[in-house]
Amino acid sequence: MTRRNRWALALALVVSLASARAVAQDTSAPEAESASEAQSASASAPSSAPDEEGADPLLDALLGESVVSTASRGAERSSVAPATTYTISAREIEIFGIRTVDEALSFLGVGFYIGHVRDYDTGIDVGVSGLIQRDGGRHILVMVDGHIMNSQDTGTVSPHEGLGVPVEAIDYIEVMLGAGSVAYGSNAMVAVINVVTRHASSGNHLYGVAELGLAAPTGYDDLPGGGLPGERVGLRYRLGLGGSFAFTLFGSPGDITLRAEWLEDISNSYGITPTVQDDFSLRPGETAWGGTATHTMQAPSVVARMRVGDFTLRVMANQYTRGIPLIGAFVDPWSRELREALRAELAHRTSLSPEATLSTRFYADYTRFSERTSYRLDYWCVEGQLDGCNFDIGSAGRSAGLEQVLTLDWTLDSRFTSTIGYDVRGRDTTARPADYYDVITNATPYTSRTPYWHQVTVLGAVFVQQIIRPIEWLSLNLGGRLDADSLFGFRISPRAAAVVTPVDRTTIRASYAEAFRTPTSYELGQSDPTFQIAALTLRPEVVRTVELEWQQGFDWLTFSLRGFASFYEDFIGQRPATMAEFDVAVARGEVAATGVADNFVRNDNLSALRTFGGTGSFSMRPVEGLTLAGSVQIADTRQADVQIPIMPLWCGNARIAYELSPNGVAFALATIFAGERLAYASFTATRPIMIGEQLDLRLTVSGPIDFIPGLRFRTSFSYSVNPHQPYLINGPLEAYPDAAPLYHPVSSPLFGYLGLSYDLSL
Amino acid sequence: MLGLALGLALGAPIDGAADEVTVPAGLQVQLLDRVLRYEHGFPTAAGSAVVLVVVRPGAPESERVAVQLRTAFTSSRTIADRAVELAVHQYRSAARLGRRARTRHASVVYLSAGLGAEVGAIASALPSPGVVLVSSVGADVDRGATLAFELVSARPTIAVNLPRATAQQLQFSAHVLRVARVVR
Repeated sequence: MTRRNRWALALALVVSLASARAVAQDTSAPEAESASEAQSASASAPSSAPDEEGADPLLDALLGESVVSTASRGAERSSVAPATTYTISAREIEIFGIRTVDEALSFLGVGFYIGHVRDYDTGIDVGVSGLIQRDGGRHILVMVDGHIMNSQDTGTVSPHEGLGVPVEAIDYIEVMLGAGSVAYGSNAMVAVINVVTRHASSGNHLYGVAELGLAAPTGYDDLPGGGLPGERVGLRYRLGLGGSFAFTLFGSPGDITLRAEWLEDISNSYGITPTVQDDFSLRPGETAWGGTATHTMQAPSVVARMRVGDFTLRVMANQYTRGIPLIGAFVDPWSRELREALRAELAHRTSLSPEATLSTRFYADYTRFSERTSYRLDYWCVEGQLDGCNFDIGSAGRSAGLEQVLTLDWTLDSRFTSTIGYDVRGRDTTARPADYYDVITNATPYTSRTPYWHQVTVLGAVFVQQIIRPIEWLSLNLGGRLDADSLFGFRISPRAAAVVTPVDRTTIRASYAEAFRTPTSYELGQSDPTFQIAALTLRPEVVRTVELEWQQGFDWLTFSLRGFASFYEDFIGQRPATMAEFDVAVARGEVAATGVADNFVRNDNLSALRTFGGTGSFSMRPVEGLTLAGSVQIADTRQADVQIPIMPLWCGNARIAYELSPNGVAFALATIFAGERLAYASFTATRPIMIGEQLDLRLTVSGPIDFIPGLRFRTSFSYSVNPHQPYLINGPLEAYPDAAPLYHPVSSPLFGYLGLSYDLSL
Repeated sequence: MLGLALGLALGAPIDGAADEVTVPAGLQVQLLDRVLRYEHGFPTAAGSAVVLVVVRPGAPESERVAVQLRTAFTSSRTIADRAVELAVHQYRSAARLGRRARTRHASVVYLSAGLGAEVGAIASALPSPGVVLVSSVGADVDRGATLAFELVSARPTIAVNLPRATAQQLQFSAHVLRVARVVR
């Protein structure tokens, strides 16, 4: 059977016709170029230029396909990777005005829907492939240069400013959609994101960046303007410095790259409609909760990398502090979120023989998380704190580990490649999940014991993978990983994938994979003497996913259609504690004297979810310099036949950019859109509250400033058409059935910034 | 465990891996096939194109890349519509490589990994004109290779050393230079 016959059997006629067109381009006769184009290097045209305009679609296609490594832990073309994988380049980040990784995923990614909860509560909700939870990013795995950034004590990760990677330090972001535990273990349930940083390329350089942004104040309607008392314009700035230097040490070539940044946001004011309800925390003299809110955020970060010969040392440090004005007492200076981390890694990669490559990583992390809020009702506090309390949640994790991966390319042509590796990790966690201090005296509770624990846990994992490419158009990938974790026991994560490339620029990919998420120390021990008892034992969350994708490339258009079905089990959530569990907690001294059994909850493996959905994405370059691209996702996710909140049925992004020349001035417009969503309420609303469609726009102009070599500018303006987010501050309750929905606002629906960066070649 | 890991890692041979091959060999050969169509004389030269793949003996990375290049050329059979005649050269010295290129009438001398320190000498030793010195390591273009392949933001990129190309009397069209990193 010929390749064309196989293709005809596999796909519909329309696809065959399209593909035949792509093949035809490969064999078309090159023609001459214009004189102006040729004068720079060549006096004569090539004898085989593919079309009249001098463009070569096949060459452009080869240059346009990413080389990725996340899905199979080895470099391969994205078209043969065992999972849907795409990259977001530094150039795209620059021209579309992207400031953080979560913005890159929202504006430029495929399959992501991100809830920016920061104005309401802590953290960030990252939705992928139809799944979104109030989980602080626990269901995605985020790495920087292959180093896991998810906290080892809480499992959370914040791909916003709290990630600690200056945007100019990013070379590209590689995103693998789907289950990735086969390669990386816990947390890789719906996506793996690897942020790859820049490093010294040629010569020595000094870098600098300065950016200043302004954001319009908003009123009670969440729209810009409003004239509220105490309103202010938001100010956000960042200053960055860095350098890269090459050297020779003990006869081995080396280089060092360092980037440091200070980022501060003194937010615009935003109006919160005053609410008069006795369940809101009012200070003495206050008659309503609400008014004009502001917050501040600071996010200093350092990323450093030194390479000598086969060794690479990476160090990352960052701190993220942000006010939480809308929890507890309104705009209380005590309330803030803090995340800080220090991470280090020593990596070594060498060829043991032509067939064998060994990669080794020693890594160590320190992460700390703290959230403080303030309450002026004794209802929220422990006994004796009649005037209210300051509440503090804290957790710190220290971990160190060793990972080795041996890759064997048996036939030296990547047709039969085996990978085997192991990862051992020790974790040391301390946490104080519920500290109460008297709001007046700052005294700790007299009779209740606030929880504290110190836990040492161990993870060991082995993984294997076999890539088989028996024939040119078929790639098979089989793998499995066994995780043994003192937190829960054992878990095997298998994956089987087949990739068919029947003709050039056509890829059909099918896969089945399982993934899991470890219940973290924090979730196991999370307790509060006023309402929560510790779970102590939990099973890992598990997902089983089937995916099918079709990628197709033409002259100036590529697109992808992907369908998936995911089945999740044992999701960790809160349920009411039983009386027996409550009694045990009382006997252990974990319940405050004022504790009421009916109010107590505990973490448990509760829910099963299922998601059916698909994504479509395209990228077009109809003329040189012009790019149009976008993606859309339609996913239906249900828990016991009830649609889960926050996640819209449809969402996506679209963008257009025109570059006057490669690396030159660029004009770009990017959008995010989403359908109607069910708003999330942390209280028991008497009826579901929906929020309307989302449309965010970002217009950016960037490019070099010609009269100073190395100096570049970037200016960007953003506007959110719908200024609400799908999270409720207030709504209809049993006690207040007529309460109007009060959404938490987009922090700054209208903002702009101007930045300058300078690359000085030494 | 730690001792074993350290032993495996530190006891392994060091082959100057600071210069990493980042673009898969098969993709490099496909790119070279397209790029050489845009060189003034290459596609129309008479006879088959002799490709000399240079390997550094005893360097595993170099040997692996050389085998991968050989496999890719064998699979493609032609380059810029010219039949490929493939030979592997075990590198001893630049002068010896130059003589080999001359006697074999090589059209392309393709360096695998680990020859970064020798690129300048190799470039000088090659017969002029017409031989294209290609490297699988992008940084080698800054050291004197005519063409190389590297990754920029995960995407393959062509790097061209224009002075070296001119010295070899190679003329690449503006289309290639427009998409390439050009060393002037």
